[in-house]
Amino acid sequence: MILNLFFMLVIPLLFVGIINKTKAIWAGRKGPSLLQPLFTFLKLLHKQEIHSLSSGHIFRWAPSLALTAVFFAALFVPFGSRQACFGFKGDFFLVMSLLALAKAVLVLAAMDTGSSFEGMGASREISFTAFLEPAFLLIIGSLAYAGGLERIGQLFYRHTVNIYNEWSVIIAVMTALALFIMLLVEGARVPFDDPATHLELTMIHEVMVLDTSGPNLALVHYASALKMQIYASLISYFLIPEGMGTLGITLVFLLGSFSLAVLAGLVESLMPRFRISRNLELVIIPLSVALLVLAALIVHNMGGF
Amino acid sequence: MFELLKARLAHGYQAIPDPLRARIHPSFPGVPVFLRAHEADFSAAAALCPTQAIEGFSLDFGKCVFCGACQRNFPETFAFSPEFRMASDSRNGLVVQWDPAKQASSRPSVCPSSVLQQGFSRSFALRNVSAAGCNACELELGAASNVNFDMGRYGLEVVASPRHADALILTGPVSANMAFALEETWLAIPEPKVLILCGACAISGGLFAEEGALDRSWLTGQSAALFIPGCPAHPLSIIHGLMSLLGRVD
Amino acid sequence: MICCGLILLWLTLIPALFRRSALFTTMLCLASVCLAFGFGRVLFSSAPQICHLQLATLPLAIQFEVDALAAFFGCLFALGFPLGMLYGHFYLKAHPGEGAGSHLFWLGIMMISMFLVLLLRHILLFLLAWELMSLASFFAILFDRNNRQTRSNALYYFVMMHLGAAVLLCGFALLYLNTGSFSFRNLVFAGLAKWLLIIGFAFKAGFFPFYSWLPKAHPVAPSHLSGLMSGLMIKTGIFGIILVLFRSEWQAIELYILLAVSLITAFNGVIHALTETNLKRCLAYSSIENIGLIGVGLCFWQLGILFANPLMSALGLAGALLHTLFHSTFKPLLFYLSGNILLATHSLEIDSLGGLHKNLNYTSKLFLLGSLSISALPMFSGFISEFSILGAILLGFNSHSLASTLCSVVAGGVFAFVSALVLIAFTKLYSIVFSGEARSEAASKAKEHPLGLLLSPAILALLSLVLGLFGKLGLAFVSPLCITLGISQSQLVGLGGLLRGISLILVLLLLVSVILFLLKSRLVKHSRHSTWACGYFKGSPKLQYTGMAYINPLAYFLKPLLHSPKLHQEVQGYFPRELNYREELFDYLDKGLIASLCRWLGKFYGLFSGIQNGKTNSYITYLLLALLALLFWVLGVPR
Repeated sequence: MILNLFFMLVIPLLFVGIINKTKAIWAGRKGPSLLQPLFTFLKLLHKQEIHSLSSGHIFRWAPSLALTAVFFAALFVPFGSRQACFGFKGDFFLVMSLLALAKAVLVLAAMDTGSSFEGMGASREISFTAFLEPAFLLIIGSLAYAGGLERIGQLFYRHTVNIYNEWSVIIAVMTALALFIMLLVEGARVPFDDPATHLELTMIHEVMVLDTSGPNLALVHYASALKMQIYASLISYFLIPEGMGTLGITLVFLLGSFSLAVLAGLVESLMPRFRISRNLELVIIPLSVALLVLAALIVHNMGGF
Repeated sequence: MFELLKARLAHGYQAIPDPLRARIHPSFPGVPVFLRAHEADFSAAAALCPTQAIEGFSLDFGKCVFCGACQRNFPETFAFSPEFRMASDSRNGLVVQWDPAKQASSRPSVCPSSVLQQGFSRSFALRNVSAAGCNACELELGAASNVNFDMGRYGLEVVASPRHADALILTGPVSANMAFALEETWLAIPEPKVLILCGACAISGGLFAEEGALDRSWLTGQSAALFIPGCPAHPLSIIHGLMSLLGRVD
Repeated sequence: MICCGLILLWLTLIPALFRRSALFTTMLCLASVCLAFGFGRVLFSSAPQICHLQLATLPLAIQFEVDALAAFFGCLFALGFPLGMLYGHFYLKAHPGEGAGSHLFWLGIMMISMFLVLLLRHILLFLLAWELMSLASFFAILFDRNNRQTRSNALYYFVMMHLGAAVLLCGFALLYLNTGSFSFRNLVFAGLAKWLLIIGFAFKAGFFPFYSWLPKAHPVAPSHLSGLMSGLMIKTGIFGIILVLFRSEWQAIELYILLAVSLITAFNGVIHALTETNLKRCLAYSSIENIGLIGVGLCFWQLGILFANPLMSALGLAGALLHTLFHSTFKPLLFYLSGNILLATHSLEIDSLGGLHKNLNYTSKLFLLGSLSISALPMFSGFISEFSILGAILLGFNSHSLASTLCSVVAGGVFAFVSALVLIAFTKLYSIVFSGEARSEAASKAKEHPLGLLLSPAILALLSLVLGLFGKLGLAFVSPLCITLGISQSQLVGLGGLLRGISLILVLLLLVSVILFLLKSRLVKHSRHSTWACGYFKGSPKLQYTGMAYINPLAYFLKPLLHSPKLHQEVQGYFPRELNYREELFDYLDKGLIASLCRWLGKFYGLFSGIQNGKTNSYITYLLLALLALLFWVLGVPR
């Protein structure tokens, strides 16, 4: 449990740092240090906050609730040890709903400012959720189909990649692809969103915090990084072979998370941010992949191939 | 995909290893120095100077547009050293005086800001307001974040929203139409914050100082923390100025 | 106790006739307390009470049966009515309409008939109570009877309810034919009868395609009545459906059809809720969506029995009943608050509201609680019920049964999509109506209401929060009925343990976030300034996002499902002076199917309109023809 908490506090900002460093190396420059998101976080804690005259109470407490909700959702996901801090059979909906709670309060806070920029960001952000939730549910469903419903950490840990069984490889790769796309969308990375240009018209997540300042902003950035890390953890647990020792699990987890960060950085360096209409179509990919995996599993179970 | 990889390999690694201690080309017009206190040269150059930067035995390189007329006409008296460390934390620091005792001219210096105490040295966000200039300083500020100069490695970044910023970096002479926007942007930045003036136009109005279209009334009431001269300000000057303000230059 | 309560209810009609709403409300509260006690005792002691009433004048013995099902819904109604009238009393004081006189009387009749529907198990009396309920609510809706739209919508509602009652009549008639007895106390429904009964009850509940009366009736009814109708009256339909589901045998294919209908209901409801601009119509469509979700839960109850998965059964039924309970708390809350908004701004169009969080302080906070509840977010009650239903769906991902898996895939996908869309719809509603700056004169002049109009919503909001944080309370209320309907105790105990764990986490979540927020507000200084708008100095509230803009990314996908005729003038000439563009979103069922059906019927009946042409000559001709026919008939009969 201590290990989980420790990684939960340390890794998310490091994850963002690795993405930025990868982008810098790919561009041919030195780039900010790996701990730069941490420095930004600490700096923001020293700032004061400015609250808009148009906004009400939601704007003030939304980031606190959002971060707490994401944090509690992360408590159900294993972060480097064999089991998560909490867990019960069927806890998946609680995790999904806590993430939805975080998103909902941030969207309400964005609309609270009465700014049309933030309205646009809020409407796009929440529209993406509409397609990701069924995808996540179907992914959990396909894992449950393969071996029964379990706590969310066990579900992913149980279905490890066994290179001698082509089915487990296919399931793992496709599910990881779907989850990776969800990671990119939730973490507001290219090609769905662009955290670097800071232009209002291209933004989805960044523009939602256009009016947020000081510690509130720090909390929002941390919550976003933690959300990304939750998906990264779930994908890494696919790679952990069954029956490995605690140290081995931790090492593979760290390796998996960091390689996902590097992969996300590479994707950001190689692709532009797509048009919003194209993005809306792309966001259906996790859903179709999940359905495909489920169909393949069903047919395999029926004795098809 | 392969085109991308080929392009990337062709790029190589283009970052300047240490922008704070870089060696710049000797012809770069940096901090002006006086070689001798020749009164006739000074009064003739004062008449030549397009922005009236030369007065008596001093040169205000906050007004200087680095045209080089004084150096070209009076090479024994005026020279522009290739010194890009030009920033100063006070307006007076930008005035080069002839010091009779030392038989040399003064140099600018920056002492670290007291407003920005701990926490900002590693992460500093700037919000650029482009106030009706020629855009050269904006381009140079943008170049400071590019592959060569890469001020991001020090944690300096330019952000879009003033709410996320720690400093307002002004470029351009501030026309009447931009006066409201400038003040609004300043008020939108949360404390602690500093004002940075970048370029001759921002510091003194530059070539447009006598124009009737300027409205610098708000600026005269503010005390800026950093003045980065130049026309346009060189990215190395900008980076060095900012790092000195944050106390990271020894 | 129950009889005492019923008698008190009848007595409330007296102050209603004299338009004494304060006395009416007080007596109603007393009656409800009695009824709540009575029903509660039956529910928790799990002993069905039967009492006979023999009226000397009528040749039949009226038998009231109070079993667990009736007791559950009876408790629900007994708790909902006083809260409704509490709000209604203050609402009527603030907004005396033209029909206020008889309004209270019809409300009283409606409440009495709703209780009677639960208690009576005699076919004819049940149908009488059912029709009385429709009739009373029809007259109660006509509160604002001078408005043409109100009259036409109320009539539409009444006709639909009548259709439903007609289908019920057919169903019950078939039952009578099969069994020969009027009482359906212990009857097993079979064959066509069960389908007719389900359809009849579906009319009342608002399932697809019988829902079109809901978005017509709710906006024109006064707000307390909308809340009562949406929160309680459509639950009588659910009561009937549970009755039929429990007492019949179901084949797999029939259950799949029911599941499909529930899913379509939910999906259709939320699609329209997303795109509506009238606040109350939006809430009405969202009620349809919630009814769909309840239907899904009930289908999984039966599917669990079919697939021999007792946990799925338990979770499905518990989820459906919990959702029934919770929906009756947060939907009336939202309707009452929409009444507050209407009184303050005289408008229900969300695109002309905005910035009400400053003026309508408490209303906005309560609406926020209601919106978060209905979006099934943790810490609020909607989460608990959707958790149970989704648990039932997830249990269906079973590698042993293909049918089970397919059901779960379809149901799970649509369920998750629908709950995400509900989140979008209610964040839209809250943000456009309350956040930002006022978009119109009326919205900026709004003023908060005195305590009376806030009391009932506050109680309901508190209930939502408490039931959401402590899910076990809801489960305790719902368990006796589950057990009566065939769920085993152990499954419910398991669910209870799960909910206890969730409660712990949610309470911790609330505490930690409150502590974090308080710490931050103590330690961090803040100042106020206008919203950052890039230095633009001609800003106006009209630049804010509107409802349609908010759902624009989704509308891209939903356009084929919604009927949106566009009317625009063609651009003429090179310098057009004025252009018009109008786009409206219609319900396919409403404007498409039902409207064309009505038109066709009208044309068909129009064929006969020549008969009544007002000329005395033709009427004399008809008389003559009739006499001649009679003559021939009499003469032609062989001796």
